[in-house]
Amino acid sequence: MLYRLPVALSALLSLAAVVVATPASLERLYGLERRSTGRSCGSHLTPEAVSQKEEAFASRLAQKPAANRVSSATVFTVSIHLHIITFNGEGDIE
Amino acid sequence: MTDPLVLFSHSDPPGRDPRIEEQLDVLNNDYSRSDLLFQLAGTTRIENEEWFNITSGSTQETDMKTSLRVGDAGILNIYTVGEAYGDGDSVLGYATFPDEYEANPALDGVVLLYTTFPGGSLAPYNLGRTLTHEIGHWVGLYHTFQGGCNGDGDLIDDTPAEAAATYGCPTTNPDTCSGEGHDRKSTFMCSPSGSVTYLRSLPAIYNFMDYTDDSCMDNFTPGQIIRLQEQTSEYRGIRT
Repeated sequence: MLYRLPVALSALLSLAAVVVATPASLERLYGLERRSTGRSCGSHLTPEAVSQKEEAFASRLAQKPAANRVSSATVFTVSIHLHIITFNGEGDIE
Repeated sequence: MTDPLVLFSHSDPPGRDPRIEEQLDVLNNDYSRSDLLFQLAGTTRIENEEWFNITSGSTQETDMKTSLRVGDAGILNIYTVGEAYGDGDSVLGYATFPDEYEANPALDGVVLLYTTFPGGSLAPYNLGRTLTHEIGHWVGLYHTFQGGCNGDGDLIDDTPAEAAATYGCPTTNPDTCSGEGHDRKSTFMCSPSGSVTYLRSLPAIYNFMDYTDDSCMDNFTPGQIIRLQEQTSEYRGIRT
């Protein structure tokens, strides 16, 4: 598999962070109103579609020398362009 | 169709709006274990009735993005709207995947409700995590419940399998994939040697790629970080 973890320690630290954060998170959440429709987003894909995507991705990775793959030594900036659509006095974010 | 009214006004300097700055802080905190840093390059405000309520895949969406989108595959275009619809349902947001850019560059980006920004009215989804989640798709991540209990799921080894999305913030981890006939176990992690250790306390309900409340989410797994780095490197030209 492509995404096996190289360092078990980092996973353990993640687990510890989750365990520490959980009680406070649950306390804050108790009694919060739940939206009837819940969270949803338009990125649902069939298993077949995911499989096709992954085959293409794995093929691209396989063609690249291991030395040229991702290194986390540098921070990379992602520039955001925010387009705020408004109508009739609604929608602005200030 | 009447010509939509489009008014442009740029904020100066970018990011001075407190709620936008707070959203950026949420993003950079949530992605702090990756090597991505999100910075606001520009804000545009557009008055447009037809785009304010938008449907994924509609002519209006194509018009909006074709008119407004800037930059290449590595530039994140975010569109905030009043209502958004996908597959017939009202949604909080939606996003394109990195590998879709080549075929449809004009449609690349994230659409979400303005009420999901920090301080917005859409509790319990008003702490900024909808944008964290949608950008997760934009950098190549699937839902933790992708594919349910069987198959390859979200293609990440250290996210537990889920039969379906989790909502709210359950007080106990719903172990939905431990029954007979499921080929993905509920929770596990990988060792450096590649062996798999099964755990019971790394629930997907706290993962940014589930559907739980904003205050319930607090992590990407190391496996997700690796995938998003590889995806953005391969398809968005980031790191090259």
